[in-house]
Amino acid sequence: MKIPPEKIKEIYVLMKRCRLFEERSIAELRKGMPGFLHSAIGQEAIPCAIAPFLQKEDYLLTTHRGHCDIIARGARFDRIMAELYAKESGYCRGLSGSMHIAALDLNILGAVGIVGSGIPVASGVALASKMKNERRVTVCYCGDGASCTGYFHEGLGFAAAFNLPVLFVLQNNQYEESTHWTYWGGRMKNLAERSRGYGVRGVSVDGNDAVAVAEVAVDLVKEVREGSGPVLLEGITYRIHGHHMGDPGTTYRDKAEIEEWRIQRDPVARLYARLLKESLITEEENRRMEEEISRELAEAVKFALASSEISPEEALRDTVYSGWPVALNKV
Amino acid sequence: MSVEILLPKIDEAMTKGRITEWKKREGEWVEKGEILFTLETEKVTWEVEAPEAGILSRVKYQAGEEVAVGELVALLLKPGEKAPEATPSPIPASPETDVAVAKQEIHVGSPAMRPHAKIKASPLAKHMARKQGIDLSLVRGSGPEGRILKGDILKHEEERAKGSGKPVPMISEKPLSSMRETIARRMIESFQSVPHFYISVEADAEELTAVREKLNPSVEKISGWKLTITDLLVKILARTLEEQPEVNVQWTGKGIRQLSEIHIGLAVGVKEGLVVPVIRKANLKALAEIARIRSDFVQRAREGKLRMEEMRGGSITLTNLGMYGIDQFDPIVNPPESCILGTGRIVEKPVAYREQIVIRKRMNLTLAIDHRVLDGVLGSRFLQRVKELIEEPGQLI
Amino acid sequence: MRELTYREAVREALREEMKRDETVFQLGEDIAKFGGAYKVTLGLSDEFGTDRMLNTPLAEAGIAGAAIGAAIAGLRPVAEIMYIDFSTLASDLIINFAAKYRFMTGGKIKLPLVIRTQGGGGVSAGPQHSQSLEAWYAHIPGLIVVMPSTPYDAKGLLKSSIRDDNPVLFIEHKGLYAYKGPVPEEDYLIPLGKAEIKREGKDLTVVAISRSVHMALEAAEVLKKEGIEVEVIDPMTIKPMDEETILRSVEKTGRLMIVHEACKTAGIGAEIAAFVAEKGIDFLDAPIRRVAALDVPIPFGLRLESLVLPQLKDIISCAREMVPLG
Repeated sequence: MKIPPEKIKEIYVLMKRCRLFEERSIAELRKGMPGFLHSAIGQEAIPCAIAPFLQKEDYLLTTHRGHCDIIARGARFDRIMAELYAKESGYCRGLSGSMHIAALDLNILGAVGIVGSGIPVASGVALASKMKNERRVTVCYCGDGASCTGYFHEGLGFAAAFNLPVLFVLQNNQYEESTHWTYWGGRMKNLAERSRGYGVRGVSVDGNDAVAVAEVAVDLVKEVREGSGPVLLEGITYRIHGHHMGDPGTTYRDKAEIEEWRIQRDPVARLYARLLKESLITEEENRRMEEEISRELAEAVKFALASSEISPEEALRDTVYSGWPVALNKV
Repeated sequence: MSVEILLPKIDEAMTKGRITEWKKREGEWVEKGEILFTLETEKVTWEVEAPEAGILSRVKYQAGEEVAVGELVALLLKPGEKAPEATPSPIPASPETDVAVAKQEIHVGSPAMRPHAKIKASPLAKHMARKQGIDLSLVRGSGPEGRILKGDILKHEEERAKGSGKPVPMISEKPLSSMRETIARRMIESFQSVPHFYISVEADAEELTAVREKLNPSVEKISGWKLTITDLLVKILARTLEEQPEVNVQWTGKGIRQLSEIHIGLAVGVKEGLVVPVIRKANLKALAEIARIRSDFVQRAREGKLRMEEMRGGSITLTNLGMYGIDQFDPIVNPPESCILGTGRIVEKPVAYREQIVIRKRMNLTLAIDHRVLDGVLGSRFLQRVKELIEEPGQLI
Repeated sequence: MRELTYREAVREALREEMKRDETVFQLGEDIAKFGGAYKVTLGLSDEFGTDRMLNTPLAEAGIAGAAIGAAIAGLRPVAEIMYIDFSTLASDLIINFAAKYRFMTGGKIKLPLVIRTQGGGGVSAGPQHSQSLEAWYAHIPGLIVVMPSTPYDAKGLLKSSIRDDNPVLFIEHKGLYAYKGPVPEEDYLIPLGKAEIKREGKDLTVVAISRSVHMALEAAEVLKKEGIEVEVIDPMTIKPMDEETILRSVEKTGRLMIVHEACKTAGIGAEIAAFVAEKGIDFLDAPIRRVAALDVPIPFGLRLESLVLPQLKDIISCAREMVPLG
């Protein structure tokens, strides 16, 4: 289906927000922000091209590399930044950090650090909404590495068995940490092929062409919502930085390859070029948008730095169990 | 130079004390004069102060443990100082050690043998032994490999009770406090070594009670406290001793010492047993003053806050069981005093008075005397005079 | 009072809770028409339909994941994992997801799910089908672990577990399914986190887990004749365990024995011994003893099994060692 121009512009704005956020969070990390940061720079197109076609009540589960996934769905900069800074005002009150952000008011149910473990859980979420006769779609993001796990198999198997409304979105950034997916997946043309084993439809698309992703996504979301059962959408993309910001990402990849994906095949630049060509945006507008987003980011960082950390008593009050106390003395 | 904290000797008879509470923790900085721990001894709780400032280290005994006098309890180190390895060498105690030993550095004796070392006993048995002051090396263990068990402690206690000659009830669960142990020991000492004889007389108490009632408002106004029969009796005893100094004597073991001042000991019952604070120079004090001192003693006795020196030096002790409804009893002399007066309750009885049978208030007085020091004549004359003053308190003026 | 078997008691609890709350549903392998490997859920799919009694593919991680996801999305799943030995396949999701998710989301999400499973030996099921693994899960903060020993307890505890808002691991015993006991007709709950003194005594406290409770009670009868009065305590909830009841009992008797089918090393007995030694050292007149399985895989064959698993005579001889004569 053809994407209306205003939707394309919406996608671009989301992608800019993601890109600038990721860049800012890396800058903060270098300044001393705690924890791991798994940057999704280079992968913005996929989540931003899907989000505009979802409805508010649709559920989202994502991975440790999930900032763009949740920003595309409307997660606020300030509360993400506060979470990254381990402050109480963060989405998870500072208890989780980058890898596990859940924003329940946006139906973002969370993110996992055990690769693949979100997949069977997504099936469970979809099972519940099916049992309750809701018309919710559960979107489950995963990566190429996750497709190797038993979780992928059991999760898709379940979704297929019970005809569950899950849109599995595989962001194939081509590297499972330091290993290129063709190393173990060379027998396959792409990873969407895996879905055949479950009798589930699999579609593979250029994940850095936002419009291409959107055109496929809008149909798939509709199908899943109408009860066709689970679908696997693979977007071929690329991770510009290392696995996490402590990994330069150059010991297992060609510098030339990285440069190619970073410049020529940059999804943000690509979409910008298209928008300019179709007169959907001006340079001035773009610049203003960047400034606005940067201001918002500066505010977010200020908010995070000014917020306080949760007290130990509060951190442990009713958070381990619902309604059962935990002993607070170590001795 | 590290400062040794030894268990201080608080009074001549003391051989050991029980640490009741540590006020400072190991590793904590202590200022000179700050309280390190409280010590329970013969009827008092003593606060042991730090003689110097330093870091409390090498705490050897914990709260609840009994320690022999002179034993090294802890060290106070200067910052950066390391504790010395060697145990202190035995140096004889100087005679002046019975006053405020904790305030001086004195090497006293060699460390006593630690009880419970290398003797197999169950945790429960050890706990019971600690609380009851039992030396585990004296207990036979029936458990595996000779381990001492609860039953062995109980059996030991039973046998110990049988051996003392007095029917002591089996104290299977209740631990002996320091005080009770001391009272027990001293009672035995007195009963066994002091040759007691008793003289008893019944005094008419009408005048005494009338005087008390009459004087009470004034006393209350002056001192803030009520005047009691006890206060009057204290005054009476003090006056009698003044008039008969030959009774104001002590047995020293070698001879008889004449006391120059008159101090009246008052037996006060507290939860753990009995304490005898002494009202000093009672003969020189007004009734209102005696009432005040007596009230203060009773309150502080019940709170365990009497000081050692407040319980020394009595000429005679007054013990009154009248408040418990007792008519008459034979008290035990409180050594080194020469006698003790036990008074019973004031009760209305029919008596022959001025050739008629009338109901009058009567009170029994029983004087227990150390026969080594006083004989029947001196004792009787003393008791007679006390009776006279009770029956005619006006003579006190 | 009528008597039900342990399995019937569990079934009745499931039925009552599914009737009471329409968000309660079950999933597991062969639990619908087949009624489950141990026939616990037999008949329930006739009553509630196969939409609420889901037969799942053979995929323990899938089952656990589905249960977790459904709980996050607002339902109250009761998942069945056929043997606790297979829980290993689901243990990542149980340990890293279910147990931690509430905490990871800052205390915002609750996971009211129950995983029913069964363990224990004594029926010649072999090394991979006879284990008792409760200590693993008791170790994980965020999980509740329950092990009923009687039909009465099973029904009351399962109802409480389903109504609890936390992930509960409900561990049944395969050797108890046919065991009959009194179960009242009326609705009742047994609170989680409370131990029960199943028999009073003054000489020795025996804390026993699951099927070992029955062995301990039998032993107590035998020992009574020798003048040893045994107090048998069934913790019922393994985590959080009722320390208070156990400590008060040890204070009374002065002696503690723990009996469980799990291997001795790092079994739940080690935890009980630790907190009693920590908080009640002065109560102990004898060393704490554990009667547990040898630290070996549970062999096939009843005779060999009985050499490995704790037996009645083991409890009796240990008690005799602990309680002095006279």
